[in-house]
Amino acid sequence: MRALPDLPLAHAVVQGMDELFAGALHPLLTPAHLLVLTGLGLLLGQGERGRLMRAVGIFSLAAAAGLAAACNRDGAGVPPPTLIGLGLAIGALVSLALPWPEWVRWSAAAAAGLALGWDSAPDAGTGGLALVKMALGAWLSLTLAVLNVAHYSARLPAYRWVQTGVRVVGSWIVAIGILMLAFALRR
Amino acid sequence: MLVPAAAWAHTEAGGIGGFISGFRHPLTGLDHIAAMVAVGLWGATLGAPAMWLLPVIFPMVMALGGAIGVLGVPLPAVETCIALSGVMLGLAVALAARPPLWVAAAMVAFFAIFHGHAHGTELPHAANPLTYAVGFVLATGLLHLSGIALGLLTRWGWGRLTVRAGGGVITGIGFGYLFGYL
Repeated sequence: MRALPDLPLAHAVVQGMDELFAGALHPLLTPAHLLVLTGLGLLLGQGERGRLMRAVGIFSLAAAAGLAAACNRDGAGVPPPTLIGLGLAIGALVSLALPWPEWVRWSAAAAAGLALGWDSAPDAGTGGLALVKMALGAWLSLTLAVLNVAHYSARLPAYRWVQTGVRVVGSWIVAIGILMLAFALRR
Repeated sequence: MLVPAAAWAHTEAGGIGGFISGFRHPLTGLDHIAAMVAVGLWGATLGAPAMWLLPVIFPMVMALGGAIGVLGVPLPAVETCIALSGVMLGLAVALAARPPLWVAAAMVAFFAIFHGHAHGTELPHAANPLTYAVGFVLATGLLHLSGIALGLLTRWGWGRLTVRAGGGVITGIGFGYLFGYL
């Protein structure tokens, strides 16, 4: 995966916006992030409702760890093909909808949290209060995005066609991921 | 006739352009549309779980075919197999064929590879990869859902006839492409 060229998924921070909101928007303006966030939310929503918050908590902690680790680094974020591969794997878990043990969901949540947190860290050169506000905004945004998708997908009716609809969305995430990887390999 | 040609030209750069380009791509060929609607129609005819399994399998395998096409790996007789997909899937709907689930799944997956490959080799180079892929997959999925929705008419007697007639039309379209009339 390291040999793959980066896709042009870079995004600019919105000018003139308060750092907290700019940080909150930062993870949501990257399409590869949305792929992972949507897939993870659906995967967590497929699990037992009682354990939903634990999985979201793991994601949130991992995202905080990723953000904290990447905040003071000058290096690049997570390579887009890695993010796409992660989204593809999570989409496959959603699509298969097998009775996964909880550790599978927790592992996916931890991996996604770390990757998205790392990739959403404020750009190098941001310092002081601005850095804290941007990181806080990104962390809140990531956590709330997963929490919302997971919460509402867990509350979907138990009708078979609804649950299969979730699996269809998972298969779409896989298909999008495969095509994106092919584009990345071609470039 | 005296009106000058309108400027329909468009670039496919950028997120929105990529999405629109990807969304339009599966809708630009009658052979593709017919086969994808046939997948939904056949799934609805077979009932659960095929009704949902086939539209889950098709996009994933089609994306694999698309990836092969994007990477420039050639496949033999792509256009023939696409035309054959219309013939075979249309016949399956017209005859209300009920093979074992794995046979239906394998048949759909086989043809999905060729549809994906054709789209993959024709991809615009300027397209935004992710939004193109999102549009492409969504359009394909919506065609399947249209087929399923039409296939739900099989609950009624007149609906079964209509759906089977639709399968006949799709078979005709497939033959049309196979023999170069379309």
